[in-house]
Amino acid sequence: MTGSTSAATTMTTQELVRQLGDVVGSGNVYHRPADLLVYEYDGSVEGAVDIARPAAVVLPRTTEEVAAVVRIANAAGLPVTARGAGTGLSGGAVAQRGGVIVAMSRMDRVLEVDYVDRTALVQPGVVNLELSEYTQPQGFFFAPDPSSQKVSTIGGNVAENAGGPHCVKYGVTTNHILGLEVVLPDGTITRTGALARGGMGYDLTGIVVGSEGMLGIVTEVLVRLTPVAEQIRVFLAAFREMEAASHAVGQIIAAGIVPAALEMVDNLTIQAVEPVYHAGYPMDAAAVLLIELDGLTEEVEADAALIDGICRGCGSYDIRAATSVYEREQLWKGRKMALAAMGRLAPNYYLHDTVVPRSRLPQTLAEVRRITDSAGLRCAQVFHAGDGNLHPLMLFDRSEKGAVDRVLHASHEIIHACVEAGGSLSGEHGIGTEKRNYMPFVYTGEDLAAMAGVKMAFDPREMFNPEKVFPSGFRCGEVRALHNQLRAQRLMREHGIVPV
Amino acid sequence: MTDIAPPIVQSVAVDGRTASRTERPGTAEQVAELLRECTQDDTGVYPVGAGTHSRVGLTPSSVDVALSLRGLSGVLRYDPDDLVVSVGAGTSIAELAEVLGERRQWLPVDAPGGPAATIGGLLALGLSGPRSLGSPTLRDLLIGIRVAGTDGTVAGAGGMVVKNVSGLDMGRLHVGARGTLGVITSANFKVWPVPEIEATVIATFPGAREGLGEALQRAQAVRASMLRPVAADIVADQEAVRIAIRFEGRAPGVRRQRDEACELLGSGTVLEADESAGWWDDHMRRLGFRDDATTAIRLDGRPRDMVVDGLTIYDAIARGNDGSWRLAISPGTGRSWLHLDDASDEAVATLVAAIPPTTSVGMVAGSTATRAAHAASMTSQSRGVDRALREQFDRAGVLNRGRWPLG
Repeated sequence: MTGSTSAATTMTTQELVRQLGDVVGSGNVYHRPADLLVYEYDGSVEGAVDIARPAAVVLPRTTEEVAAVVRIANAAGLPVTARGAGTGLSGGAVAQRGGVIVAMSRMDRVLEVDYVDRTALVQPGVVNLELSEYTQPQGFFFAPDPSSQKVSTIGGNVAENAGGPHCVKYGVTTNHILGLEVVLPDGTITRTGALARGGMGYDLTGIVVGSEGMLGIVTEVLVRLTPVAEQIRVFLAAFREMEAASHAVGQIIAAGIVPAALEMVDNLTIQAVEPVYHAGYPMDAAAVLLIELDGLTEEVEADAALIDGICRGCGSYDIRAATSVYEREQLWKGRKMALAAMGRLAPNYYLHDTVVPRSRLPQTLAEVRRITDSAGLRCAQVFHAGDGNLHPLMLFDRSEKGAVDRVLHASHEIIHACVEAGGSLSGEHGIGTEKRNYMPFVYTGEDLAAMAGVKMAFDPREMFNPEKVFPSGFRCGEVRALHNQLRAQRLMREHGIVPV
Repeated sequence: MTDIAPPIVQSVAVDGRTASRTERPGTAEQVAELLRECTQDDTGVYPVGAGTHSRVGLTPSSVDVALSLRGLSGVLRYDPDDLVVSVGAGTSIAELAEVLGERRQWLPVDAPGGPAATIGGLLALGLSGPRSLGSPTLRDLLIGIRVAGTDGTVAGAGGMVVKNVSGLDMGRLHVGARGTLGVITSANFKVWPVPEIEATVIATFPGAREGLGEALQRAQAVRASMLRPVAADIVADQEAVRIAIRFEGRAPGVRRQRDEACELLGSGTVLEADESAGWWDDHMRRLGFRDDATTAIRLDGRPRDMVVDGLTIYDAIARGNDGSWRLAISPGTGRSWLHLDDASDEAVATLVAAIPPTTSVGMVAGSTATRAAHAASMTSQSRGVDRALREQFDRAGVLNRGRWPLG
């Protein structure tokens, strides 16, 4: 299904392209269908998320260019969608109603690194891993590490409030963002948090992070850098039962250990990964836990002994610690390359992202298995167990009749099961278009109306990344208007005023 | 007023002004209903928790309705195995600590002004203490929130899971919004296991100005080392200059850090366990916007400027102050608290004018004139959005009317 590109415009495409070209240079504006093709989708699965063609794609290099592009789009009455590397998994960077895509990939400079203050000021197009690689020689890294970190940009991480394996200890993106420069939907530029001067006003940083491009386009990011720990150790614990592995996860957390990462990889994933990447995962394990500890040497050793005891107590038959940096990287490679290896098992996969309370992991994993089994789907589980953040990965063949429908049906049931277990819709991939219609599962009309109030404060014309996060047919302006209208009617009733 | 709990006899004072009327609702829905009524009647409503920080912000000319959130105190839900808790906004840090402590867990935050401060109040002011150096703040730990709005509804966001990107992060919008976008009625947090042990190293430096200079240099050395203190503060007054560095965690790690810190500081007294915690409790009670200090100023700077700025601030205080004073600097976060007793408005104004441009005055409690001067000096770079947010969530401007120049 291709989304509508019928945004009302008062400008011809030719005129739009000319005006945009005047701002960013004609070589930085794409408008021919062949050039637009790669901008029609992101990393999501077609079927779960629509594809849509923008009228034009611009690649600005400065904040002022972004602001000028926004003003042109405003004048043309066109929606604006910001895009980083396009690795998103919920349709966030797809121009659902057409219009202009502002691709931030050329704003990719690290502007300033301050090792005393432990901050870096970066443009949004800087690739996540490159910032860590840049600061590593000085003993620092950028903690959020989504699996896409080799490609995904910090601007995209900010928009989606991205997570990653190390978030169990260090927190998600929002915990590492100190300030932002943002081009607002009216084309003005503002600065927030530690980048703002004046001391007054709301701290808009927190609401912009994770707002999926609906409130503004981030053009500069002040991030916190984290010092690399003195000691890092990675362990692999293999289990014959997946349930035993999830019990070990619960016990590690309950014992007060805060591992740097606590990941689970199931047998199906091991079958895909091990023959290619030789990570060192036992092929006969029902599941392995990948546990990273970091900190002072003494602390790591104390925790390592506890973890060894817990895993053995839960029935782990093979516990190994990486003895070299190479071995450590190999163990991680298996986890990080898991998605890439899935092509060996099936032509297509649908990677899900839900979250449940950690104590509900064993039951939830069993329920997911029941759902996918009854749908006749193979499902791999490779996920952030320490956070209760599940990633059921359903394998299928798109060419098989009805396969996509079965996957979507199972997906629907998985979401239900996770919400029933006290969980939420998404732990780190965002809502986008993929899960927008599930929002009423977890939020009341009042909750959504409050979110709509924020949207209206930033973007009263609803032109920034429309058709995202809020359910289909939900127009923030209309909801707020209705909200106010109902309030007025109630007031009139109470005062005995009869509307004429 | 049918749905509202009857006003309690004891009236609540906001910023030293006794309210014309005091309400103490027992549910979030009752708070929302009260806000709706106040909006309808165009009556200013002043949320108050423990009242520990009511001396910050502009002095309202009158307090119409004081809204005590103490009726919303207590733990609503606690899942120790998942390390998450949901609490009423009127719950104090001390009350929450008691419940979590039974399971050897805690919310690892410190409250400037002491543990009587409520969760809702600390969130609304966005306050954090010296622990923000090496430990998450309330803002970091927040995973869910419920807020009563002026439209009479209660809206929530987030949940009871530690990782959640479902919809806008409404919780963080309300952190530091000072109750002007709605009244926080409950909040959900990640909690932590209580660390195995703690220890604090304290060193004293002779000579007022020289001592401070030395302490600031030593603090930089600690920061550049492998040590991972959860807090490190320099406290200076007319009598002495001290530095206190706090470590928590597994026993062998804490012991090693404690010893290395003593070496880096040149000397040091070690406080262990309760003694260590007690020192910080006492320190926290002296921070914040205490009632007994004439003027309290929070300064926000950058760690890299602290060696120079710390001395400049010291000079400004030493120059024009006859009364007693206390300066607490967290060099690793760039934040300082300054408390002045019996300082005249002029003396405070002169001092504020001498604060280096790399450091800004974040919050002030003091005389009406001092607070007004501070408010007048503040600006916002996002005034349009600020106003629009206020318009969306408090069209009549009843929430904390006249106290905050927000929106």
